[in-house]
Amino acid sequence: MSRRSGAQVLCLLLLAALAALLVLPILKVVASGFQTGGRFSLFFVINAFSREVYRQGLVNSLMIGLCVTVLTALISIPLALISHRFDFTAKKLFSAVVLVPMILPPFVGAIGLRRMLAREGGPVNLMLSHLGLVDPLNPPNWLGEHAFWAVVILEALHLYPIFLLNIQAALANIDPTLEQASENLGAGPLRTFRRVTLPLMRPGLFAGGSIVFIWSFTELGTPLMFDFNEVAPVQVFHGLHHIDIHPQPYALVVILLAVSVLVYLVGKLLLGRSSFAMVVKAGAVSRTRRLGPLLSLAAAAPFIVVFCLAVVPHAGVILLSVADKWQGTLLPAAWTAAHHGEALTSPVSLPAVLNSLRYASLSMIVDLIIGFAVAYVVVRTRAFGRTALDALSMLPLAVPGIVMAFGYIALTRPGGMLAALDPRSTDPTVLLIIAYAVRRLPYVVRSCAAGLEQTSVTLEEAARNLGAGALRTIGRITVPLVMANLVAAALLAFSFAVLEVSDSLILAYWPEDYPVTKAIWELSFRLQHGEAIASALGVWGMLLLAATIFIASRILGKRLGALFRF
Amino acid sequence: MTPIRIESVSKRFGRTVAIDSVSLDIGEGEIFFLLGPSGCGKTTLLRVVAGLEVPDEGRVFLGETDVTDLPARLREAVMVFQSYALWPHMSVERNVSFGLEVRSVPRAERERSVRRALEQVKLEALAARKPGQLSGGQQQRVALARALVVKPRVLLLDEPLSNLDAALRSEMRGEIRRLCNEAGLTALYVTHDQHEALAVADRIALLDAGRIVQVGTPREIYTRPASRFAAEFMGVTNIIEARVAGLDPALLETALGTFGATRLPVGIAAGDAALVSVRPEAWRRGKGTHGVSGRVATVAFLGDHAEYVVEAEGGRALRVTERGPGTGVFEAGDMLELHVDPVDVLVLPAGPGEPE
Repeated sequence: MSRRSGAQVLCLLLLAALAALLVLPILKVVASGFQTGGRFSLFFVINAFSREVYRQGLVNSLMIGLCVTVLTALISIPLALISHRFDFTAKKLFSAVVLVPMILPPFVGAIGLRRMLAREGGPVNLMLSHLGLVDPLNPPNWLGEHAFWAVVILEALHLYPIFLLNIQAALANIDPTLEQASENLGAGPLRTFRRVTLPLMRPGLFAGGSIVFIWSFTELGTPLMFDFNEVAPVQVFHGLHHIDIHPQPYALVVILLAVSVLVYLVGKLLLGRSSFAMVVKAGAVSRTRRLGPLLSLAAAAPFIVVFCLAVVPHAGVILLSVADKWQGTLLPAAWTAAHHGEALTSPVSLPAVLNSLRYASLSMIVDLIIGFAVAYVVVRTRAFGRTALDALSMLPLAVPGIVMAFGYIALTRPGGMLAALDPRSTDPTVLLIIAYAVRRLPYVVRSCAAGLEQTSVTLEEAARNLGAGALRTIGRITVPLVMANLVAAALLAFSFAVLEVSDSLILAYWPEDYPVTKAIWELSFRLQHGEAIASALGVWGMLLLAATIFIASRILGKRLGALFRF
Repeated sequence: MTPIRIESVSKRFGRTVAIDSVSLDIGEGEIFFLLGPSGCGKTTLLRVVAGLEVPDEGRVFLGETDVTDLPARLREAVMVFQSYALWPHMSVERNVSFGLEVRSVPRAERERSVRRALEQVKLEALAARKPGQLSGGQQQRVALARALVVKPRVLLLDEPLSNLDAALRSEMRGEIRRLCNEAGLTALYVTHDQHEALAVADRIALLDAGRIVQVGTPREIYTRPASRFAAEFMGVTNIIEARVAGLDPALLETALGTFGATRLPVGIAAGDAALVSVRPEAWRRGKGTHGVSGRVATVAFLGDHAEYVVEAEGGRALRVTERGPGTGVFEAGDMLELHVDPVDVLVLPAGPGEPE
């Protein structure tokens, strides 16, 4: 077989695999949403709009999505502009530090925030009553009355780094002379921003905004943790138990998907319509203004404020995990390491940790094989269909996790195509591996593609020229050359899989199959030390992700940001 | 019609000195060139005048006004960027009208001015296009129209032709000169291309390593370079080490024999070391009073002229250009007798050379 046709066969095989693992579940869930008793019907879709409880759930989700998007924009645009325009002391440190909140899934942070905002004896209320701002006998019930805003703020504080990375990339792409030309023609800073900078950063706004919206609109873990049940994803989750007799959740998931797609398309039309190919002249001087010590502090202040707010939930989680007694005081009254010990040994958490390690490592291997193959075909070959393959492999970034999870449920239900894998009757390992692998595929593909693009193709040609076959060339030359990228991709795929929420909550049915995240959820609602053990597990998750991102950023450098962009 | 005065301006980037105490006086309506190799500081100097860089020392005057501390947007010193810096999200028309909008020109007058500016650069048919849909030459003309339409006090041009092909470049040279003269603008023009400078400039400042090497008209700089750097930068030349053998008449002794000259650098004395520069086209065929003989090493016949490398006595390679009808009759290996008219012999100081 010639090299050319080998690449073509590989490309088609990969397309088929992605179609089966990615497109088929989405189609299946859409089909299931429009069915009643095996026949086409709009009953459940109409039901979703006509029944007050579902309508309210959808409205709440939509509002969460919109509010989170607006809030993340308000947080990240000023930060991005400050670091674009000015150069100040320890700018690199502050720019890195504000990305830290990304390391913790917000639903773990919710445990911490729950504790911080507790009505009776929660540190926030204590502090406020100490300052005389609230009545100590009748403190506000933040989570009961304001659960909506708690969800919005927590998610915004988790998601703004993604928005920030996207706008920073867009700003970095703007040829600095375009802004200088405006200034040179007499425009002031505001006019230059409105007429030149803002229109040119629209693609970044769109990319960041759509990821954040889709993510928060369909987020399951955070509202679930706050017991905020009037949102569509939570309703979908609770409906899972009797999905075979009452398939309403499918219709809700279809609506979530439809709204996500609609918002994406409208956003694209309004903001991302034209992306401008800009050639930044090598050596074009961008004029960041160097600030003195006092102004430096002023420029760093927003970074510090945002960071401090964003780590409140994390701090809560860490404190909870080492607190022995924490009631009625600002900080815990006594400390203990027992929860951390228990987190690794208790009958609920130990199997969950082992399960997660198994699921995550196997899905990482699947990701590496498929991801490297996709990147290789896209970057190195001219196979027909490689553009479609590239687009398809990025699709999981845009499709809500809950949609994918329900796709797998739809595929494996009794009488379905893959009934043999039904997580309610069999070991969900295979299904979870597939689900985890598919969701993390874009990161792996991007990381590998970055490595391949940086490596000169002539090194591979030299091997071929000396008589090596395609496989030997890949094995002996290509893979070793992009090893760093493979390691970074593997780390990211592994840690994100360990901390995956939607698939874990939906696809792991029996306690003995629970991965860590579902165990955290289960534990956090137990009395006694459940919350503390859940927090301890969360701390380990944080450490794992922090270490991963640190190592990956050392390997990938600036390209790490590219993994979180559209 | 605004003169530009630059008074001992210096600019450092970290430890690199980009401009080293440069002073210049540029007259009203003059097309003044900053010429030099890349990295000589010419673009930095232009950006200092535009207000896009703040000088570490020195002052900049536009007319009588000291603009050193004036923000770029208030200077009315409008620039044509090397990359053109056309806003990709605005149409040609919007790009050109931006500066008028900033100046709160009423709509009707604005539209009239934009139309006139686009007519001036022959782009009225493309007003609705986006910059991405234009060719390089068209983009260049939009950038010019955008700068000219606001009737700036001075026009700054940063290598405006460097992204164009050779034919377009020579067409645009004339175009820029015409537009500047029509508007009576003082223009400061940066380039590294000495042909461009010779063709368009009223006067040229030659820069090297952040310092001014020589200021003069194109003719002065080409025919009377002040230093070896100036002579070599302005075109191909043969540099021959020499010693001053006589002052009146000027005689220079070299390894190739004695050369006569009509001018000597100021302050040079008999016995001093010097350099003799002879342009390839200055060589004449035949034995003169002071002649050189050599063997043709290579021949390049270029139609209207021929270029030879001639190996003179002692192995010294000389570049010789022959013009006019009947060129290119010599072949490699032929013996040649050459001489130079003393008027065409340039004598340069042996050191790095100071401005005249």
